Amino acid sequence: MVDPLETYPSGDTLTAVALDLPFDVVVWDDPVTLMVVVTRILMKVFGYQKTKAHRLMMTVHQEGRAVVWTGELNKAEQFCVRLHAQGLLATVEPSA
Amino acid sequence: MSEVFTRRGDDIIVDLNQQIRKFLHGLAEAILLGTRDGTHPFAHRLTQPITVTKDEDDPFLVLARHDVIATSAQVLEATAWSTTLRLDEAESWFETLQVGSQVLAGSFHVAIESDLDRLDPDDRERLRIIQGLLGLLVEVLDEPEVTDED
Repeated sequence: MVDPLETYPSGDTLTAVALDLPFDVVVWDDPVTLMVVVTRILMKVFGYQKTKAHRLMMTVHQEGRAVVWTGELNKAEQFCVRLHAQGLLATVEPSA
Repeated sequence: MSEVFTRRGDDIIVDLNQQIRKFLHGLAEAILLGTRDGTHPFAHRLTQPITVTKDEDDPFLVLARHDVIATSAQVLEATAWSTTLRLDEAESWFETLQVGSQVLAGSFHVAIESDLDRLDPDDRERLRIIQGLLGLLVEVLDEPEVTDED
């Protein structure tokens, strides 16, 4: 298992990374959450129109994951927390 | 249209039997119990940094923050017996049911070693009930408001 503290061994390193790189919010597929629920959560958390939210949901469903938002780390983490609160599996990772 | 949840302007009328309501109340209660203790494994995960890298075995080190989950669960616990919900209360039902579905599917871990004995991981029957309610709730939360004049 990857230890995130090894990935970012110190707060300073994380801050430095955060200042320079955009980060992706990634939603992962899970076998439990209904498709309509994923779509609604994406609309609610990000304010997306239904068409865009549905398209992202289908990407999650078909490819196992989807980048649903990209931007600064602090905001990405806030979005991630909100997705967690809605019961979705989500992570934040440096943008490719 | 759902007959379990009916939209009336800014309210949602709830038509559920007592057995289901008791289950929902217990679900909210158990989530609250399971997330209030910061030393519990479920909450312990919350102490991990959110930023993680993908790992084949366990890519999801962080599942949910207990404080934000607790807010919605408290609303469901308080309104489980209500026949009318405000929209914000219905949103809390939506959030707690969604989290509850993860609990019952074994994806989330909350304390189940309580005398409540209401939550069992991998409880497929109750999971189907929750998923059914979620699907119906989405319909009324997203539908345009219907007033008596309409």
